[in-house]
Amino acid sequence: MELKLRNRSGVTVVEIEGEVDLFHANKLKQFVTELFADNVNRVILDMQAMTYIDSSGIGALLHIFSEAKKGKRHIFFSNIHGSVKKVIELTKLTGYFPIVGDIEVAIERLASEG
Amino acid sequence: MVEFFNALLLSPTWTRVVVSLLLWAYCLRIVTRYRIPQGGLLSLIPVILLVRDLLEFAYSVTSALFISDILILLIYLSWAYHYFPNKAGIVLCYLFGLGTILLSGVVPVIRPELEWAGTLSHAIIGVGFLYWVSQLFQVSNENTEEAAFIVDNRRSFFVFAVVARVLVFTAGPSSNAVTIGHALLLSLSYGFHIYFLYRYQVHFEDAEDTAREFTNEYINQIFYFLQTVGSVITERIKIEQVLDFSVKSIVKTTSATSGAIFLIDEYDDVLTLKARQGYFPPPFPIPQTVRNKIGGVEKYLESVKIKLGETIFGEVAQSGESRYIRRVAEDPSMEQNSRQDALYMSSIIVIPLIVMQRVFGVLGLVKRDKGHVFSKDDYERAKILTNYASLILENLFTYLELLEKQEIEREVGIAADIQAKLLPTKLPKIHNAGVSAYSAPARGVSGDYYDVIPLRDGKFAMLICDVAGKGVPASLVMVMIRTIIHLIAASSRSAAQIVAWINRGIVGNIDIDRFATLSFFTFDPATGALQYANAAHHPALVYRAATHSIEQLDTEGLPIGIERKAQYGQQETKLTNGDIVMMYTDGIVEAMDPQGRQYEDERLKTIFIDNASLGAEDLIEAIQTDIDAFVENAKQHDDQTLMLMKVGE
Repeated sequence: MELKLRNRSGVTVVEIEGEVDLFHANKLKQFVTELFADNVNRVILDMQAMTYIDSSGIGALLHIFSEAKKGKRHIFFSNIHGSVKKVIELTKLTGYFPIVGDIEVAIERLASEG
Repeated sequence: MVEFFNALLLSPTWTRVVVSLLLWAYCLRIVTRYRIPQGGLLSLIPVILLVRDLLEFAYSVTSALFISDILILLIYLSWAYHYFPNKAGIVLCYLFGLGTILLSGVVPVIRPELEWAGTLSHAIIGVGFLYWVSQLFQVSNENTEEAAFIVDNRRSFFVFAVVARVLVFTAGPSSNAVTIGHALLLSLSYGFHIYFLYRYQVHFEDAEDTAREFTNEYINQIFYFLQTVGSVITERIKIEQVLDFSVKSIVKTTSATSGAIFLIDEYDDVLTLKARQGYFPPPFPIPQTVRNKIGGVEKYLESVKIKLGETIFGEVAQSGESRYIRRVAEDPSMEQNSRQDALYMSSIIVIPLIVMQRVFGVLGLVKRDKGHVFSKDDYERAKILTNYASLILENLFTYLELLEKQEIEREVGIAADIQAKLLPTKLPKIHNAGVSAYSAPARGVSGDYYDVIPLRDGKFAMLICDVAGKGVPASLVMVMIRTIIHLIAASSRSAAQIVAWINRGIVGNIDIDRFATLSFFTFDPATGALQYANAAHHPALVYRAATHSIEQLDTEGLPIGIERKAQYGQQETKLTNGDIVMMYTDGIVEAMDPQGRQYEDERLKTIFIDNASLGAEDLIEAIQTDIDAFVENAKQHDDQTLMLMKVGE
């Protein structure tokens, strides 16, 4: 798994590449938690290049999302597709996670949410 | 001519000739052996002295004395200005020289009666020597690169210059004591130069000794460094500890005031402080509000993120080129650090931490003592030690990554024991229903949990559960789920209510990333009534013997452990003899063959329906055999658990 940090219109975009499994879930979790600790309050996790996710990865996403909610931060997951989408659907988290189509939509939503 | 030599051999001049020749030889040896500024000019001094003495002997002209003195003075001055260039000083030298030559060489020839000219020449040369010495006293480590020699010797030079001049002046060329005066003065001229060269020899020999000592000490330090890092690794690696140790030893070796290591963020192109030794003033402009207090500056340094390419640190990190600013006060880009305040520094070294042509951080060293700066040697040492440190750190990073993986594996081993005790060793015998299960953990321990729990009135509950993650925490979640389920399943609650209760018991007591998916049903063999609730697990498959078909059982509901108020749906159905309910974890349908293809739901359903006439145990075995055949020798990457219940057995 590789993580890349981008800034798009004042929003922090974390691009997640590759497999998010048992061995990488922690890294993802720590990374976003640190962003939050640095007072980054508007984050998009972009999963365009994410190829695989297992339950640990889902766990990491759950953790991140719950942290965001606790800190009243704004977060969106974008470009979910393929097997990742399937796993999220299977775990019935599609309605639970803040999922949007792509980064542009996420940025719009973040703008409207202030 | 014969008379001349005869007289020469009999006079004290002869001794001087021998002395000046020996001095010349000594001078050439020192000049060629050591790197001495203006060595060529300095080795001319014995020649000048020799010529002077010969002229003195032959013609007894005092002008030669003055002119030789001024020439020697000019050589010493040009030597001094080689250390600290000073244009005004050089012009002054020429004026001294010209004035003295006019006074002592030209005036006595055209106006021999003007005796004061000689006295004035003396005075001028005296002032010249004092000026030279005063220049030497301007020198400090801060403004001169190799100041040590001058700093160590200027006192004795001063004494020599003053004593010689006072003697000459009081003797005076025209006085009666001229012979005594000359004798003293002349030997002093030689004496001074001999002394001067001897001091150089001592200086360089000392430097060689120091270098030798340093090399020994330095090798010891490197050993100590490697050893300590080694022990830190075997005990328990803390990267911070290694960084702290690195910066500490480099600061010590270079006698810096303080040092700091900044590493490039793993995910972003910024540098952040990772280790610090002593108070380290940022070598870049900082907000005025934090500038006034050392505490404020320290806090600022700890939190600052330096973009690559910005500030001296960012530039070094981007270019990979070291920077050495000997005198911060003279560097316009370091203006913020030259005032006497919390940011003051006299000298700074910044070195990139590089391994395999990749910069992963920078090391900064500063000196804050006025009058002290880093020497070139300090800089070279810092570079070598930093290279060592980089190499060790890079290895450490790689090792840590590996260790992290191993740690997960080890924890998994402990958890395997816990888990082995959790899973039912023997499934209960159920009247009018056959129950069977199959579980194969990947890598030692399973995050899967399944159970069959007898309830009142011959009813029973079955569940299959998949906890996210592995290791002890995941096992603990399994223990919790198991405990709760055994406590509440016996109550006559509905399946949906039981799952909701399990969820409520778990939420808040576990990390959210240890969530679990759970598929649960209760069955009454007497009536064939089944209640099913699903917490985001794979839907259960139901084989209907009557229609020889498979249908899915599924309900609404989030995984266990996420939302306290999560609601779970419930599905009810009636089963008849020959019907089968099957539940499984994703390891089954995601089992991979050597080509990386997945087993898939469809294949599972097919084998399921094809073998539905078999008993529960044989059916499980058939499925297991089919999965094994599909997977061949491919490595199992996820836990596989499958359980089923056949009615009427």
